[in-house]
Amino acid sequence: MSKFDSIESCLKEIENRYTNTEKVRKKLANYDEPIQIRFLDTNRSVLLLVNKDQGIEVKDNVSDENAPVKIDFVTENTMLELFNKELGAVKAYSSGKIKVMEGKIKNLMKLKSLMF
Amino acid sequence: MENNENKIITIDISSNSVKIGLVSEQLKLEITDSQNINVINEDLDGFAKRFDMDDLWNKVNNGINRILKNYKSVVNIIGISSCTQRIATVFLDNSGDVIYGGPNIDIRGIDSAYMIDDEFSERDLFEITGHSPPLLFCLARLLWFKEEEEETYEKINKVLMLDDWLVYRLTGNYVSDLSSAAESQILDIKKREWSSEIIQTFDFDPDFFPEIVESGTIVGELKPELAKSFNLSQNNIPVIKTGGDTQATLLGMGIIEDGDIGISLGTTAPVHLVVNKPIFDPNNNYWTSCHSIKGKWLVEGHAGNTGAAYNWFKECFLSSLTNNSDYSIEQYLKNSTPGAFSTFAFLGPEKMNIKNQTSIKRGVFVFQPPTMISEELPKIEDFARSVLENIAFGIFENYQAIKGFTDLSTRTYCAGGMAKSEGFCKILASVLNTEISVPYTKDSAFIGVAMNTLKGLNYYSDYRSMIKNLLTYEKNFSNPTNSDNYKNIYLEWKNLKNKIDDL
Repeated sequence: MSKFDSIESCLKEIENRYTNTEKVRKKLANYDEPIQIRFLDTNRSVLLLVNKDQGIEVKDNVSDENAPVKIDFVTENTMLELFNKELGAVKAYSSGKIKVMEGKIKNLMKLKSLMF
Repeated sequence: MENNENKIITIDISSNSVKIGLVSEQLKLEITDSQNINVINEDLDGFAKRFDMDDLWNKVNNGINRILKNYKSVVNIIGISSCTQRIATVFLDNSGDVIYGGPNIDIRGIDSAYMIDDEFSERDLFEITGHSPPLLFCLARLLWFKEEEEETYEKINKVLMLDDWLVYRLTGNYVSDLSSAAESQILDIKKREWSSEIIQTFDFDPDFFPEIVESGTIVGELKPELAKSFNLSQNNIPVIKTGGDTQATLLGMGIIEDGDIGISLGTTAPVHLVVNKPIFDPNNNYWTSCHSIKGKWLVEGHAGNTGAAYNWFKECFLSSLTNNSDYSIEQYLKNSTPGAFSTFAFLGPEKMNIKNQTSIKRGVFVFQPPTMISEELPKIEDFARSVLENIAFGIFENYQAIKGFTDLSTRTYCAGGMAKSEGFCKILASVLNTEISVPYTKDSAFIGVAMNTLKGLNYYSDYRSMIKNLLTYEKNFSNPTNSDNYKNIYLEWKNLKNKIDDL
């Protein structure tokens, strides 16, 4: 049985990684820009608000069109496959299952530890 | 075949293969051997990759043995030299054993690049190293081990570029050269020495980094046990440092003068301009490196996966139709016209844009589909031409950008696997609207490596006389009519590309 069976469980894992991993917080110590995740099959949006190493807020069904980092997942299942380690991030990215719509490469490098 | 002639053993570890060549004193490539490289994925994600270093070394050994065995005459080896893919890095412990050996596509540094960003502004790092982004190079890999595998990091005794490791295996000596070190993001490109600022900032042991020599320097002798394993009866065979494969390819094309532009048509297609001082792109995009020639630097644009796209097309679309896809493509080019009957390919080759590496674009063919009113439809000839035109347009965009870094009138050269296609060279000359010189030996890396050997052995006092006396060229002239057509075809391709990039 897959460990992650819903988007909610994946979002919870993002919070856990941030809260429970010092290394992840260290990587994000200078990061405080909103990240918008969008699932194209359900039109669901999630907003991640990282406040440097002081905390993270994950807002489900919330979007921010002005977010400087925007990542599209073609389907919600893509995120489940990634979190369940059934799909590699590079493969998902190069096959177009994930697309970075906006975002500087340096910010995306920092986000890898939260999401992949 | 020449008998008992002096020969040079040349080694080229490129992105895909280990290639060994035997080259004469007259720079004639006598015999070659090629074996594919194994790259291992370390994790499911696909970011971390490494070489099987034992396999790599075995392939070098086996390749040398095979060319010496298959070359029918008795040879006198006057020297050995090598070049390897750039960026590839090897860490050794204090016994000289490999702790890590990673290829140019290992991007594990994506996890540690934030440490570089926290210490250096993008511009400051670029003005020291001439390279970006930070995730790709030796610097980020070192920091990755420091952060993620502390025990392994503690064992590191030497930090080598891949060619430095090869020299170490051949001679037992630790040494680097400027063309290799320049691709580490730890070299101060202006000072042409390891950057003390970077080393101090990240608290690296300065002894990690070997002495740097100019390419064309004798750096040791082939180990006696290796000479014996190659069945060479000679002793004291000198090993001469070359370094980066692209710089070796440029040298083998004869590209050493300010204003020379070299297009290396390999798996990818870097486009280099030779300059006599380090010039840094104000937008931190086009790379600045050291040439293998003393006092010369290179500005580089990169058209992306050109040869890879070409090989993919041949494998995917032609392998079931023909046993000789290269010949078929030449025929297809003769049977098609510029613009490929309004067939356009978008397979990756494009203008270098380091800051836009966050999206991988979709591969697309745009063509006229069958309709009720179609009178004529595109054929395989048109699709083949469209692939080559895509590659030429990608090179063109970088060529134009690189030319902007000099006021000198430029001379253009190309070499590498795709330079063997006469049809492609004609397309490229017409798209660039310039004369392109193609050396007689298209596998120029072997020739550049051999030139460094001859320089190191003092057969010639300088590269210029070697080029004048030993290199010969075929000229490809632009066809004025085709060049005019290609101006419009390129604009049409670019217009479509701008739309397709959003897919």
